[in-house]
Amino acid sequence: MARVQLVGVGKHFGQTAAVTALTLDVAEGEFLTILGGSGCGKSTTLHLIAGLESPSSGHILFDHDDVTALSPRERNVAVVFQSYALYPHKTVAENLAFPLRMSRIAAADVRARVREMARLLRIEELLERKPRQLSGGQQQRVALGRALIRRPRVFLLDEPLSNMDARLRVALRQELKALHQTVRTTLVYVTHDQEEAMVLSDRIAVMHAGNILQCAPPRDIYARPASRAVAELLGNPPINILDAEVNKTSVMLPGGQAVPVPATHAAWLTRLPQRFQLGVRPEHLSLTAASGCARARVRHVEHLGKETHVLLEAESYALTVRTDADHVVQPGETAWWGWDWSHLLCFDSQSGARLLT
Amino acid sequence: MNRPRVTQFFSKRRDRVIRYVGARLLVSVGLLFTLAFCLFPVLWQVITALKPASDLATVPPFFPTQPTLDHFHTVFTQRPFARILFNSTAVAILTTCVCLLAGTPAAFAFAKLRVPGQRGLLTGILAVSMFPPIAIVGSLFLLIRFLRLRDTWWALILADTTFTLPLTIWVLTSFFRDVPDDLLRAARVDGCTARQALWHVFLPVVTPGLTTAALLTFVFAWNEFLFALTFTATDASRTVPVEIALFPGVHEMPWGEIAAAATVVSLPLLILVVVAQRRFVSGLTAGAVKG
Repeated sequence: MARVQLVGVGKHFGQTAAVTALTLDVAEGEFLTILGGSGCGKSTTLHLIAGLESPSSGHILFDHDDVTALSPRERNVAVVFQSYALYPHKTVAENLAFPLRMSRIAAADVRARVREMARLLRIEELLERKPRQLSGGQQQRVALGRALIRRPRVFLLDEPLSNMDARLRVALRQELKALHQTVRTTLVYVTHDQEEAMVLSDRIAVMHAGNILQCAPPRDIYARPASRAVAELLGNPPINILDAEVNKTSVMLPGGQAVPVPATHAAWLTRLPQRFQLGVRPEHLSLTAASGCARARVRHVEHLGKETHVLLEAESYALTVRTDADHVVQPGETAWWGWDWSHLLCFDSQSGARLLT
Repeated sequence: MNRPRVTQFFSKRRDRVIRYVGARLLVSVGLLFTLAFCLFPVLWQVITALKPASDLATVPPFFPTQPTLDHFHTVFTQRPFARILFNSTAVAILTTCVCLLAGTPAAFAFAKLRVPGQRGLLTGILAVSMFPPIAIVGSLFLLIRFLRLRDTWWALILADTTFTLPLTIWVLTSFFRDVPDDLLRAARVDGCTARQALWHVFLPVVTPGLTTAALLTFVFAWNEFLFALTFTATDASRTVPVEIALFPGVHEMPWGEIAAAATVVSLPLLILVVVAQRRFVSGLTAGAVKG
């Protein structure tokens, strides 16, 4: 177990910068997720921590020791790859034993630890099989076992669940969380799946274009995103963004509709720039005349069973609203919609930074 | 009303059955014919090798009535055939070794490392093996004479490598490309040095590729005729194809001996292919990665 620190770490491949001046502090035993779209530099960051790539600038510290120049072997890290990367010519037992054999551990110990790991991951009956004879979930467990068996200081996972079908993914997610609670190893997890990140992590680091935009616990990231980009990355269906203006008494929606600002939100009138962007999550919108802000036409209705998503369309904006499953609206109708003032987010139109924090 | 429909149903079904059986029959006959066309010369050669000299010119009997090993005996006692076989084996094995030793690192670089001008280099390498051997045999001869390698194994190994190394590099490059990068990364994370990763992970995974390349090279070197004819002069380095071509005397054509020798030299290839076939396991990295 180790505390992992990245201090101003950059990585260039030729002319293109994969990661720029990254600073990250992972506490001992923490489950930290790096969340970002493809090409944002999250896998590169993982490879840098593992020692598979060496940074172009900056330092990597494990427990305050500079490990920047050390090989993966010397860092004692373990990685689970997206493709699992099991050795196809070795049996499950040999796969598990391989990291131990490479560190010259006595054969009897190796056997004991392979058995112990197989028991922990419930793959005891698979030990003599070859990887190609295993199902996806089983291969994944073997990959986890091969990573854990060495008792690494840091445990790194690169999208380990992305090749699974949805049901298996949920089951393995819970197993992974439980496993981390058992072994308590510092764990860095890379994913593009926001739900995985929300469910698993102690903290989420949101990455975009080689930078970490925000690093905070899941609930904070969701409720108080630092910027519009972070807000847009989390949440499903995604957050609604409206270009808005504020005058002496009201917020003006695109198209000129005025919504009076209540007394509780008087700060809006004084502290917001005249033009700003309004972020409102679908679950903070409602289709009731009572709290109504404006009227719009119903474009689509999606029934998901537990809830219903309604896409509203007006002349100059569109909104997704999440309502109860039993709320009945028909496409083509005109409906009043309203928002929950306490959950609105305001962003700077230029920089995207959150205002009124 | 029903009757015509029923009969039509049956006749339709019968049609289908007939068509199906017909198609199967046609395919089977075609296959048998192709097989016979390909294998008959081999069979004929074996039969000829086993017939006594007196029966050689006459058919019937098609099969030897009194099979004999006389021709084999003659080949090995009255000619330096053992030495020639040894030359062929040595040249083929050494060529294969040189090709694999030189080709594996080259292919690894092309497949897994960033090589500047990769496309141009690969095309250039392929172009080398595209020249007809007859076009370069003259200049190669001058080179071999200059290097004082005439009538040695090394002359043949050098010439054969010129043609088989590009092929080896191409075959291996495409095999190596299929090895996932994550597999090599996993090896490094699991504590391998570069050499250990090569030995414990990479080579076992690419064994089918290495076997394929080795087999192609071996067969090429074993069968090669033009260079062997040009660069060899004596038993010291002459290979089997050239030796067999030199069997005919001024007045007679020793068909029996030619057939016996040809049967002997076919055997190693047959054994190699059968043994190697088990190595060509389908799916090079099946089970290494998902999806």
